[in-house]
Amino acid sequence: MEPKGGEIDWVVEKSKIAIAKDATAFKLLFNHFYAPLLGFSLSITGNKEISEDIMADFMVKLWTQPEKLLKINHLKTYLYTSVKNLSLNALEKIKVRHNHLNSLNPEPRDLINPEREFLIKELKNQIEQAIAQLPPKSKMALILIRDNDCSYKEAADIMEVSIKTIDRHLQIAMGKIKENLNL
Amino acid sequence: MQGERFFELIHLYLSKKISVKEQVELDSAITNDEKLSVLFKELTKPKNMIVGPLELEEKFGKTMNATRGRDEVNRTVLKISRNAFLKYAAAILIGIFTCSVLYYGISNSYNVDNFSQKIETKNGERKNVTLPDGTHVWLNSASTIAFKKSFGKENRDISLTGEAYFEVSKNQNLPMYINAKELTVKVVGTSFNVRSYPDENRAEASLVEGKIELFINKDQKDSKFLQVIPGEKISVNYDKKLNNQPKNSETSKIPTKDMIIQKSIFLKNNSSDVPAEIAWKENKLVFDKEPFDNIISKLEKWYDVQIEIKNDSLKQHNLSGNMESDHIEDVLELLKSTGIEFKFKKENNLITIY
Repeated sequence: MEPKGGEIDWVVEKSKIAIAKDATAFKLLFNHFYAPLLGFSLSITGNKEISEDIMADFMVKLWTQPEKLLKINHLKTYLYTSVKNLSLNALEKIKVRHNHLNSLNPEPRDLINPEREFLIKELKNQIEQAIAQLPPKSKMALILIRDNDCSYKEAADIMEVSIKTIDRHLQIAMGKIKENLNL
Repeated sequence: MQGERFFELIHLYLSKKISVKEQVELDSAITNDEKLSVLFKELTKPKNMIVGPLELEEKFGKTMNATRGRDEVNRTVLKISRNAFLKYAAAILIGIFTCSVLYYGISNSYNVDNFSQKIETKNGERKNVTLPDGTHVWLNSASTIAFKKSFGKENRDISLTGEAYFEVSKNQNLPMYINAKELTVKVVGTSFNVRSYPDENRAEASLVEGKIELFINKDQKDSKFLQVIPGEKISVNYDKKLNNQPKNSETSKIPTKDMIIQKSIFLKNNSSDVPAEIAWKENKLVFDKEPFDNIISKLEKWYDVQIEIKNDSLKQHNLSGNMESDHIEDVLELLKSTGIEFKFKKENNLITIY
């Protein structure tokens, strides 16, 4: 089962890219997946530059060896799994875990900050930190489901674990966040 | 509601296995408690990476480029004394002349309608403004810059027609992209000048200090990327005639389908003159071996006049000059004193040269 990204039928686009080396179809894929995949990679590496490099290499590879796309049957899972592995490898290589929060896009700061707004911003920061501090796999499961519109099945395929494990990761995530926020 | 129950409900919500009854329970908890409402939103609503359309375009172009092998434009390392640049501290300069008929557009994803915030100048008018992100802009005559409402927050994309000098406030997370027709400039450094009048068929980029990347996007499959280093000027001619050879050129010439890219040095370390490329900002008109018709086109915008050249042989001449005057007559007299012969008459805003 191939999901539809809006109106886009990725089965069709995928074959256009793989068989006809259709640049327009590739651009569609690029525009659709670049930002979310970059965000996903960033959630693993914590370093924007590294994630951008990973994405650049990955996209070039995808375009130069499009025949690979023929062998896969689920585009989204393939893209996310690839980026996940590349990001984990990169992380392994550098062995330096940068401070995640520093490299995340900063929230635009308002100059006028009424108390209520301020408290909400504080809470948001706390939540963001709680998520950043989750065990990597719990965090990945949450990121896939929350930010990338993944079903349990998709998340399970991408993380190469069972659906039950995904549910367990989420449960751990919820428990840790609750604990972290003292709720 | 107990924290434990609340997180249980969020878990169910994320798993998409939440029952109608549980959904109602969750909804009422959220409505009654702002903290829980924030928590719910933060844990369930997508927080997406934002990549602006121009940045996306750049990344895509780079991908297509990489698949064709190395950039065909070999970078020429120029040795220029830093001292020459100190007086233009941190100024990057880009002059862009493009021909409107050659407008290919940056892509479909780049929607000009989004650029709802506009700052304009008329002929003969110049402005100095500050953008929402703190960037200072000097806008030359007959120019427009446009940006989105989200400028400075989600993107720093600017669309430009005419000429503008920018002092860009630093933001590592949000690079600035300036788009002028098929030429896009990515700003990594701090200050620069962009020129893009629709009535000329040339694009120029001259960097004084800092770092910029030029991204010439003719079509999706054929993009060019150029790293510009201080002292360099990049000229893009959209027709095959090289009628306006920049000084000290010859560093490289790359003919493509219908544009020619040239690299040259525009800043000389032994000269104390302000280069023509940034003089306008200081209210000075400077020409350095410029073709006569180019000069006339500049004068028209500068003095808000219309100039007709009746004697075509004048267009052959390249002239130099350095002037600062409120009156076009003075400038024309000065041009005459450089040795070329012409007469002019002025009626209201129309000047005829013969």
